[in-house]
Amino acid sequence: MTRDFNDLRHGTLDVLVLKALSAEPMHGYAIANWVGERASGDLAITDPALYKALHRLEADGAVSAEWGLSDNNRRAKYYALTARGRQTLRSELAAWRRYSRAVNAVLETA
Amino acid sequence: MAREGIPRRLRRLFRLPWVSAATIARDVDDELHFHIEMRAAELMASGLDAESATAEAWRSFGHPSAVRDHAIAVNARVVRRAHVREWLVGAAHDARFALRQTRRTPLLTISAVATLALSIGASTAIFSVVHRLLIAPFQFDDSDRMVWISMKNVRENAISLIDANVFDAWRTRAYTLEAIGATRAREVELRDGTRIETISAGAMSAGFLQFVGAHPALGRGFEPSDERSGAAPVAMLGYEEWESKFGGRSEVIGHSITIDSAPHVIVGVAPAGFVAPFDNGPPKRVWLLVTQSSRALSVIGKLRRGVAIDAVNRELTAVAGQVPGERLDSSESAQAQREQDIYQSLRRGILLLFASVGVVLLIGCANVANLLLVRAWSRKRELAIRTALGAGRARLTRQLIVESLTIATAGGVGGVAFASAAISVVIKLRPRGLEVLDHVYIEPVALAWTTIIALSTGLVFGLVPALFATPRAMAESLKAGQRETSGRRGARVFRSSIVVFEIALSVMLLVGAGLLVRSFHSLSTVELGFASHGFNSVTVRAGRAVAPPLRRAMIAAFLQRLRQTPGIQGASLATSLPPHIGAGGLSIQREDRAVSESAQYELAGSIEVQPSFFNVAGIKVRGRTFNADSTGMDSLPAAEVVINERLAQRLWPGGDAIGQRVRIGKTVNNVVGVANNITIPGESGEQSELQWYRPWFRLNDDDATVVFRSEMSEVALDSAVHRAMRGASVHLTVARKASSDEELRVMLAPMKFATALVSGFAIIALCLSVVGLYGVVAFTVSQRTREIGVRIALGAQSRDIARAVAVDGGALVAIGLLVGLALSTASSPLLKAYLYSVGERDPFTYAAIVVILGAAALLAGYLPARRAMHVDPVVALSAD
Repeated sequence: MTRDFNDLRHGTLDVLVLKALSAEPMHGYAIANWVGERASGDLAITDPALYKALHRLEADGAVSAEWGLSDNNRRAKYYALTARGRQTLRSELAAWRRYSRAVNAVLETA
Repeated sequence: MAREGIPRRLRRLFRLPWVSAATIARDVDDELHFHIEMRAAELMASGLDAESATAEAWRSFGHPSAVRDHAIAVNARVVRRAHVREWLVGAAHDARFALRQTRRTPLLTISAVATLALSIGASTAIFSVVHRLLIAPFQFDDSDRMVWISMKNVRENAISLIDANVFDAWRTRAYTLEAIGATRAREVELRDGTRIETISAGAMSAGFLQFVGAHPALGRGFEPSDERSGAAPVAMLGYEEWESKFGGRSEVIGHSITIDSAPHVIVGVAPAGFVAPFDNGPPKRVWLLVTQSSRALSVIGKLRRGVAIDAVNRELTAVAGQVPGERLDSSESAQAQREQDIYQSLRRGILLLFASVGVVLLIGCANVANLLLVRAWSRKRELAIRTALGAGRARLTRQLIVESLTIATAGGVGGVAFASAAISVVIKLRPRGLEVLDHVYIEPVALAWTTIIALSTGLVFGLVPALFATPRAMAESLKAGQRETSGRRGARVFRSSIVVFEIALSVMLLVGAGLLVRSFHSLSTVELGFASHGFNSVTVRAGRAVAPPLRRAMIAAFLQRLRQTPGIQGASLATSLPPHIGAGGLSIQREDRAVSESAQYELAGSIEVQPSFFNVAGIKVRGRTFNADSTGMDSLPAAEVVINERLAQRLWPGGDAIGQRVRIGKTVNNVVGVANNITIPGESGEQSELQWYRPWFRLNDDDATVVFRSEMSEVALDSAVHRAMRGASVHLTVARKASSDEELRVMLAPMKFATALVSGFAIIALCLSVVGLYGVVAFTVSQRTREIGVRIALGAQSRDIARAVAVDGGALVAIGLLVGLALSTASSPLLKAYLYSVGERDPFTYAAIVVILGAAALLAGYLPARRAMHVDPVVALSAD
């Protein structure tokens, strides 16, 4: 499956968000931190992009959103993975692995 | 992080309420603010002061507005989808609810649906039938300018058809007519191999198809060149004949068929369903050309634009008078008539049908209205509660619409089914002479109109509860104890008057139907004056090739053999078979009155008969019949006549006609006997005409009709007749067979048809009224359940309760009956023209209607009364 670069960025961002949510439901800030921690600083999602992705995922039904209270008693919007989201995550993960293997194969040739 | 109730709410998908862009924007802002605050907090934790932390947090975020716009756009799409889905889910929910409701009050709903179906079905069926009857089955161009032209004799009050030479003169010289054509119905012999068949054929003038704006299905129509003397005889096939007997092949053109022993070349095929204007008879199998020697033509003309009928009459009369060989009496003139002038009586009958249909439709709508109002009232509390629980008015209205639509749709579907069934019944029952009804189908316009009327009633009254959905009304409904009142007095009176109205209308229809039924019964059992049972006739033809003397001998031999056949009790020659008496052509008058006294001429039907005829027919004669049997004679028989009682009384009131002399045409005859009147049942009751008989002397005719009496079955009769025929001569063929009973049936058929229709309506109207009555009574009972419970608790017997219910319903029936009877009595003169030997205020009929209605009322009230009797006081008196 060939993809162009923009497609790739979109999709990658989505799968990162979905992966974050697969651990537990979180609000947007927590997602940003979660990704940042695990990527050890090499990857940072711009905030606007993150929120656009979240809204888009919500519209598509991959995640569901609920307003709740955060630890410090603030009104925050929590996102959670839906069944559809889980499915999307699985397929995107598989796609990513295929892709990265392909890219690596090309780049690692001497 | 604390999450409140999320796990459960996670399962809920997209239960978004309608959100505006402002709400979305606010949500996004909250979300982003939260993010910024968290980031600022983090920064402060690493040493920054509050102000710089906040500023830095904002800066690092970037462009919040982009996020907001994106979110709004995305959300709008989602919300639209969710909104639609919610609406659909709501509507489905409403439909399910509607179905549940109908299960709770099945009778009410079924009544409403059945009422709608019956009303729509019956009205549509009859509108379609009437539409078919009133318009020509075959549409002609400019049909409003088409007129039927005949010669009218004002003195003799007779109408005669046109001779070919007069038609010819009109064709060439009449200026007031744009075009003219002539047709004639004939019976001809069609030879198919060795089989000779007598078929109904028509003749038309050249260019007739073009004249009426029709096009031949194949080949061409007749042209002026076909009329030239010496031209080969031509014929056109009827469309059905072409399809069935000739396989619809195009090679028939140019083929020849033998008609009346002469070969005719087929030049074309008439269009499907073609009938000539003003012709209600059966479709013709073959069309021939009108010849120069034709008589009795049916002439049709097309008026020139702007020309008055008077001018046409004058011109045609003048032209006819100048035709050599035609001497016009001063009292004779041409008369052109438009279609509407001709079909007066048919139209009157049809209008009567229309009225009945309108009444049934009206009753149906009233019924549906009533039933729905009842339902509305009983739902008041339910609606009030739902409003209190938060259902918006729009929501309730939508639900009511769905319910009404459900009922309306079911009723509409039922209506179409019923209309189809009704139409097939009509087709099966249609009398001879109205063959045009064979092609009747559901007219879309009729269906559309009746459906719209009935469904609007359903929808309008179904939505009435929505009117009650005002907060004040709701509050009132919720008050305890609301159940036992029967509603506002105004509403109750309204509903009751609807039922009274229905019952009155049904009574009117029932009375009309009852009168018609009795009338028909009288007509069909009227004293005929002759014995019709087993009285048959057979017309034999000797073929053109046979010379007259030989023909006479053949017929005489046939008659002899027939008389000798066992199973045949008597046979005689006659020119027609009673109840047909022959057209009145000649005038008959006492010898001692002067010729010019125009008022003294009588038009009477006459037939030529052998002396034995009266015996065979069972007609009693006073005096004697003819002296000699003139059948075998070559010369004219003696100038003797037998006249009937009515004619005798007319000419010699109070005296005896026997021995007197009469002038018929120009000849003076002796009256030798007076016969019983023959009564002919017809569409306007009986017509006992003036009749006279004279000796049979039809030696030069092609056909001879033998009437005979026999009890044999049709099959046995057929073979007996054929044997006698073969024994007499091989040249004889059977041209026609008839049975007196069958002819009577045919004559009575239109009236039977009309009576059946009106009776059908009356029954439908009655059923509808019973349903309406039931609805109202049942409702009243359910309204007053508490009161009934109280009564029972206080010791009332079931009898008393039932009686109370019966009185309630009975009062309505009584009022409706009175109103209906009054209306019937007032409007009965309208029906007078259709009644026979039954007064329009016939007490027997009225009494029967009262009884029927009483029974209907009992039926309607039975179930509610039973329910009332079984009311459990404990349940009824408990708090609602």
